[in-house]
Amino acid sequence: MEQTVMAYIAGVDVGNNTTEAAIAEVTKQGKISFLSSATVRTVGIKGTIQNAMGVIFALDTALKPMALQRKELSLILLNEATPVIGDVAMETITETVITESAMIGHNPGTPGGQGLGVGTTIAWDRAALAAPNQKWILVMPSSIDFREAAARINGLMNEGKEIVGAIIRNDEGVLIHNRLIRPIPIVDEVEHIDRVPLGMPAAVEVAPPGRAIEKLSNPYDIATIFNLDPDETRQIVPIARALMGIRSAVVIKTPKGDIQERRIPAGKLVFIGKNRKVQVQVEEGAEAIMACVGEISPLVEIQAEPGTNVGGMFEQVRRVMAELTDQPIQHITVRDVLAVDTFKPQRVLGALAGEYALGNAVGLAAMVETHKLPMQRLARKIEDEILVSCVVGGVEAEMAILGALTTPGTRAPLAMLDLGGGSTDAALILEDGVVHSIHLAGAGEMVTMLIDAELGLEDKELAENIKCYPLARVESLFHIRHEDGSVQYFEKAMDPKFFGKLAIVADSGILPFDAKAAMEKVVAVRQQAKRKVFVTNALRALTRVAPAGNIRLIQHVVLVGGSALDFEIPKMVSDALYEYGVVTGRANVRGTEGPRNAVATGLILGQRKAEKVEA
Amino acid sequence: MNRRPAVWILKERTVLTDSFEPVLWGLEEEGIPFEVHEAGDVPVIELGKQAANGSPLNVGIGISVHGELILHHRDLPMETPLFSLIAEHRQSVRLRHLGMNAARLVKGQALVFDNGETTPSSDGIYSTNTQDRSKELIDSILNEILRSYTK
Repeated sequence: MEQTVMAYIAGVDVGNNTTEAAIAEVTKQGKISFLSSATVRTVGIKGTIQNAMGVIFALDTALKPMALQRKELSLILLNEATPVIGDVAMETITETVITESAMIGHNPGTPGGQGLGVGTTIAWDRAALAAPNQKWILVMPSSIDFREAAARINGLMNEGKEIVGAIIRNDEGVLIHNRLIRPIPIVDEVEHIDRVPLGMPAAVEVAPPGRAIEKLSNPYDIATIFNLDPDETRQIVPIARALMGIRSAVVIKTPKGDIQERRIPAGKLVFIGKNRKVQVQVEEGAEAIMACVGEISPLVEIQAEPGTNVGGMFEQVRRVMAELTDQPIQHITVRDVLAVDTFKPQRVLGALAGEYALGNAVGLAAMVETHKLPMQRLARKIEDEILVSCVVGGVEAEMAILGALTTPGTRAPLAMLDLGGGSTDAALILEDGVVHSIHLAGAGEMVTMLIDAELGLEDKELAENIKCYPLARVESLFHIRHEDGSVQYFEKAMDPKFFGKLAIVADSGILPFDAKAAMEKVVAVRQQAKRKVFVTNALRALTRVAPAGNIRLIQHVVLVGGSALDFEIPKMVSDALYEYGVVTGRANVRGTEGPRNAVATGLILGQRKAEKVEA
Repeated sequence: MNRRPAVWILKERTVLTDSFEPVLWGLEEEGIPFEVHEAGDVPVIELGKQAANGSPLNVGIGISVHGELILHHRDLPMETPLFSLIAEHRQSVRLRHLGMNAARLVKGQALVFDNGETTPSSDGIYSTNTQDRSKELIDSILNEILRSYTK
């Protein structure tokens, strides 16, 4: 039987980040064969006229290998994009404040000597007046050359003065130490040496290489050194905590010296259900917030306190959605939030060496949902531009699951998790073809925010790269060691600027970056951020679509969406779901496309179904 | 031969140790041992390479009679040393950084950079510090302009 080509049709899925196209050939007999597909970046916010450019580019990219013209297409099917947008914000809830500088805890690369020295701080130029039967800690400005410093300290020691430690500005701790007749611990590279209080009891500690300080990171040792009472000991706990894990530190006891961990009021969230309302303070943490999300069901709206970061973020997503859909902002409501506990390194206020302390923070993702995005407008625009008829196809979730079902080895009932950039969506198709779907706040963008915050990068692009690629360390001019321990050699020497640094192993090559943290720490932060968002949301989403809210009743889950392409997220989700006896895997749409192109494929398949029903 | 692990410094015979002391301080502060050896009047790049080849740590510094310095590594081709410091740029802090970088090369730690060091270009895989140099130039021009304003 001869199969004559009846038409070429295209399915196009405009997503938050990418626009995907599929092109199929449909014969008179109604047989569909897919010819090609393409993925390009979305132009403009999903649902706006600007998307047309991306759509046309995606079509052209897909048409090119087949040498087809746009006008040879007889139909373009556009997704009924889910009217969901998400955004993320962070609220810091604790900060460390030092009044009257009381500590210096930092990690100069090469401090001098080792051990603990306890004495009274004394300025360099007053050292001659130091009483002989007392222990002293010298405070030295940058103007003193190390040879002069060493000679002077030796002179003082010979006079019988007890110099037990030094705090210095320059990076010369080892140089001074090597020239002393009696070794003392020296903390160097102290940025604000002029702010070090003088005439005060102080302790200097330097740990041997490869070790962390032991005394000054323990509150009871600090209490022992300075004769603190139990109340005072309680107060210095934040100091001890801030000094944990570092190689050298100074603690100075000043009369009014105080260090506080302050809680910052971060406003409240209000959860409004059908018949009741619950308030929660953001600073109570993610667990308390998520308990409210679970408690109030069905949720009608979530409100955040104006004037806070989260309040501003809520306002922003609602405004964008209102503009997008031409609706008054009052009609747009936040329908879901995902809260995650996190840490944010913050410059310690009043510190002497630019120290950081980890403040607690809560990361929040919010999602707004409305009835319909104006995709008709976009369809008309595309028709005008390329003179091919363009219609808006079926509901996105249904199309996506139709596409996902083309994965070899799947059949209904099947659950699908769409791990995207702005939201995590789930859909379940039953044997009778009925589809349940849900959209939740929190996805790839939130992971990026958490990585950015926890590593103190303040660089979204770098955080995004750290999220997407594995790490390596440049160990020599010719080789790197990957995070899994394997080694890769290069023919030619690398740029010396890369040497000794951490690097992102991107597709385009290795990208070195300056990290304050060790590779293991960066990897741990990256993996935790992914788990906190995607594993939490996978469980949340599947519970909502599962029969009787029981994940165990789902047998198969396929993963689609951009984050399903991640090199470790699918495994994390799969591991978590394995505990429920669920088979999880990345979709392979049409056996060729991997987790991409599910909606575009589903649109074409769905269209044929609709036509058959009509016939 | 008993070879102590050390960064080798190969200087032309007549060069005084005093003239490059900050290099040694840089090495000392970073905690890496060094040995100073003497050689005849050969091109500085060869001194650097010979020092690197001789050093059990594979890192060497060559110092010419003209005061030029080269930081070299055994695995690098002779003509592409890691850093070279020309006589006009040999301020104390730069000499100190050269010593620190020799030590950090041994330790596998990120290097320190300042203006004036050049990394020779070969097939474009080395980045020359042209950016730094143009930045230096821009800074000096800006300073000139600012000064003329304050007059």
